Amino acid sequence: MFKTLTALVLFTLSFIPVVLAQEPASSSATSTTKLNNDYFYQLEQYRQTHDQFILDRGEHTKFGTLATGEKLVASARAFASARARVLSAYLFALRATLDQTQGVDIGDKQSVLTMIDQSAAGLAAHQQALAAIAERAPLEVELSRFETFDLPPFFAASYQSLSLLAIGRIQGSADQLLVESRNFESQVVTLEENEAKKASLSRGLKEIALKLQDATTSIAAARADFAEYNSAKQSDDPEDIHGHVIKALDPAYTALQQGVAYLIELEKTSQ
Amino acid sequence: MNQDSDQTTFTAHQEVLQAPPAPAPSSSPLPVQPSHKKRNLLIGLCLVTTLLLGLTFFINQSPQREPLNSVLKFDTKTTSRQTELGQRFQTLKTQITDSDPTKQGLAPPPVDYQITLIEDR
Repeated sequence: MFKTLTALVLFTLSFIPVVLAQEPASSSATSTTKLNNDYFYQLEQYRQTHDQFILDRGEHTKFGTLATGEKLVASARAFASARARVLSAYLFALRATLDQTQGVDIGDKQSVLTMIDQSAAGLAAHQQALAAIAERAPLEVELSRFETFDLPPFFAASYQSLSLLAIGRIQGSADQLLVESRNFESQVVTLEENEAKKASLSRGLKEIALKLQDATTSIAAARADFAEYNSAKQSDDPEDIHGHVIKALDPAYTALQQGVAYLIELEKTSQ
Repeated sequence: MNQDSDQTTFTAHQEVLQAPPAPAPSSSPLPVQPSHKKRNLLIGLCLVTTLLLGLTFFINQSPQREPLNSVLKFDTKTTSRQTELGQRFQTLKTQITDSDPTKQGLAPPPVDYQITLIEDR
């Protein structure tokens, strides 16, 4: 009986490595997903408070009593607080994504991450201020203060992040195309014995190199547009600057698409 | 004749129905030795455990199987290498497509950035 039990225990223990060998999910990816989910949850919560606020505001407009007025203040406070939570959740999700992005200037990235943190701190302060307000007049003052002082940093941080993310994605793709075209050259083209075929493949690689050059020029233009954020005046809309960056990146995107299409064709003809 | 007389006297000779005799209490039940019972139980448990663990192992292994195209063996090294390159280029193509700058994944939230307590009429 003892032998049977020992065999059973050993057999069970033999499965431990199999269980441990299961690849753990990437913690950063999990964190980003969790932050995204939290953002969408907060957005849903915001919609519910929005509906209640609209109802209470309509009721107060209709009856104008003290009771409806108090109800309106409470629901506007909840609505503004839910809005601040959505904006914070959005910034945190954006921050995590940007933090993982490569292919952007480290200084720019750090600067934008700091802006996000400052904006998130402003949103937290706004939420605290809302919690302490019970009357209409101070509530309207706080809402006005938020729109004047907290929203511009929020939009600046958001659009600068989005611009950096777009630049990083394109730069990452360009780097990868360069690596793959060099791999193809060393693993296939240089080993090709048929001279005519080799010359044809080399010409194809030159075309890809030209496309990469176009992409590099376009990315440089986008980086120059990104610098506009630093010299922008208070009145400049960050969404407009983001639009310029995206427009500047468009030729790079087209060039990379053409480059990878060439590479796929070359790989097919090399067989 | 004799039979007739039997029929007339049928009720007289009817047997009284009785309950079947109760089974005699067994003074010595069939002996099932406790050690055998435990051993059988243990063997049964071992078999079930083995079966369950085997099933778990099989299920765990199933998604980790290599895709068919990476299991296929080609005759020459060149073909294998070029197939691998082709797959990597396709992955790169997907990556480039996903990097479309006009598609911004996380646009600013669609919320009311201005809240007014007075209803617009």
